[in-house]
Amino acid sequence: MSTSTTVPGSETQGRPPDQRWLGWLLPIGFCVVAVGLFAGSGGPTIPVPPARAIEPSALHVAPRRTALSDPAHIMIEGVPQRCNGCHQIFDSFGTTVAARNYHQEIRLSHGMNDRCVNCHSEKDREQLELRDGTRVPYAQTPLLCAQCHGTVFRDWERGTHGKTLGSWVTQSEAQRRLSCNECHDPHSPRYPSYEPMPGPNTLRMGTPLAPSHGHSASPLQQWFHHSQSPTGGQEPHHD
Amino acid sequence: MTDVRIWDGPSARPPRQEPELTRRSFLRTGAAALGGMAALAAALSPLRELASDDIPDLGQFLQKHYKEMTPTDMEAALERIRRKVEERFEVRPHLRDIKPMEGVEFVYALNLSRCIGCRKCVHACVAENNQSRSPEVQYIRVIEMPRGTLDVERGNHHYDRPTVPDPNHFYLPVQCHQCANPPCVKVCPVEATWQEPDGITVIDYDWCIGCRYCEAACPYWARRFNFARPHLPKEQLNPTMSYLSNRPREKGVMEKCHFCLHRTREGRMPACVEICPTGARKFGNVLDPHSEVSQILKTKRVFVLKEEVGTLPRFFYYFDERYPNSLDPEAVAIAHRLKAEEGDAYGLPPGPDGPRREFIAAAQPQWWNGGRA
Repeated sequence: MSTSTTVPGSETQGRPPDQRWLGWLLPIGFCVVAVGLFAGSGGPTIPVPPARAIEPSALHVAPRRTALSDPAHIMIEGVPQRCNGCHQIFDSFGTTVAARNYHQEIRLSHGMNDRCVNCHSEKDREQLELRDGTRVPYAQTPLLCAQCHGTVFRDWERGTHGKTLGSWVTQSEAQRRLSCNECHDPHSPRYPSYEPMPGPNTLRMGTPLAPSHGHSASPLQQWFHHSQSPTGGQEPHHD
Repeated sequence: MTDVRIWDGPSARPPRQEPELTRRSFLRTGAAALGGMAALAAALSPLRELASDDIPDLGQFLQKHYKEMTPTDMEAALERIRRKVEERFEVRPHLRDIKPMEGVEFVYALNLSRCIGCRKCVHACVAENNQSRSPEVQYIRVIEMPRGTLDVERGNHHYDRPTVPDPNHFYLPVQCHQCANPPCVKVCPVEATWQEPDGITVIDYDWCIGCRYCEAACPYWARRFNFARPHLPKEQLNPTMSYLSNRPREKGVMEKCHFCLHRTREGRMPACVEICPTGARKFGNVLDPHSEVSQILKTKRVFVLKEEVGTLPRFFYYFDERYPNSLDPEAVAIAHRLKAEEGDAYGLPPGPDGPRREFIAAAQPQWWNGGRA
């Protein structure tokens, strides 16, 4: 079995002159490419999701709640009233929440800790009282909480629990460590649930499980399914 | 093998003949040339869609690499960017080039036990850093993960619940980890991205050629590409910006989280840390032993994502102690049982000897060991 080898040039020499029309292939090919490029320019139009407006108030940075400040007072019909203004005149009807007549707005849900005087001083309502009888102002609430929540207090002192505002520079004047009661409601300390802000609608942040996540697939995947499906791409809505 | 010819010098080449210009060859060559030019023009036709401000002016075209710019060059570049921003957004920006601080290396820590998945960080980041709103570009991904796994393939970016957190899931936010051994920097063919002395990997948006190698190299999917011209409403522009961070980008460049360096290099917190409602996000200088992040690295069991790929991230995650609360069905069941058993004694103020230890211990769920190892 012999392998035929062609010497370059031998084919041209042997080509009969009536095949010269082959030379027209080049310009015809160019023209086909040109028409194709021109007609096909732009590529697929991928749907760009419209811009979504985020309410600026949702991004307001502040402590979650306003803690009671010293001297302790509450607003009654728009007028600030010191605690002892009432409590030195009127006697409290018992020390459990169930027995109260006033402060109905307080929802107490602090586990087993359901007596007012566990934390509030019975003698001086503008102060808090530790278990050893020491009275502390409201500004020092963490000392009171630390009696039961020791490990959290330890972490808070180190800075590994809690929130810091202003500056990351240690000992900076702009730095502000939030106190326990600026995040947690002392009467109902469990952190509340939040309504989540809208999820991503970015071009690539899809999930590999696009069909099972239907409406939430990335726009690229939606475009892909749209072009694949014979029904015109009505994505089934899943929840 | 008989007709193998041995080249015997230039003298053996037949004399070159002048090509004969016939009508046929003229038409054929002309048609080929015309068709070729048509194909070239058609191939260039997408350029028709270029907007006038997509084309760089001479100053931008001749602008040097960030590291090669003299202060005069930089001031000229800043002024040019200010002018363009003013034309486009009708706001005079406060644009600077902020250099890293001495003796600072930034580290981020994230407490996964505290993150509730509210996505406020995502949108605070977008508002701060002038990302495109349409199509959306976001630096932070928050992944809802089933409890008991760190396999992100089982996570969901698109969770849509009335309220978060969901007790059966935890939430894993991922953004640029500012690796000490960054693969994205290694692959960049034009050195448009590099690591700064304070640990932040930055991008010169004017030097980036948009090849997206870095996006492919990043194991954390932290880099974002501007596929389309970024659209940002004028009233939402943050006018406080810096060259390497949040100045408006163009189509075809990469961008990513830069730890808000225009804020953090002036001592402020990144936008995501500032907004976080639970304090799950912690940021600081790891070279300062008293900083919060140093304390976390010392006292918490931190971990990084994809440790095995050797990127040495500066972004640490940790789980904190869980405390029994009313979200925990086990703790709630125990509390109800105790309340029934204790009867009237339940909830009395602690006595002079303190809360009864056995009572407290019994109130903990089984996984709680009282803080002992």
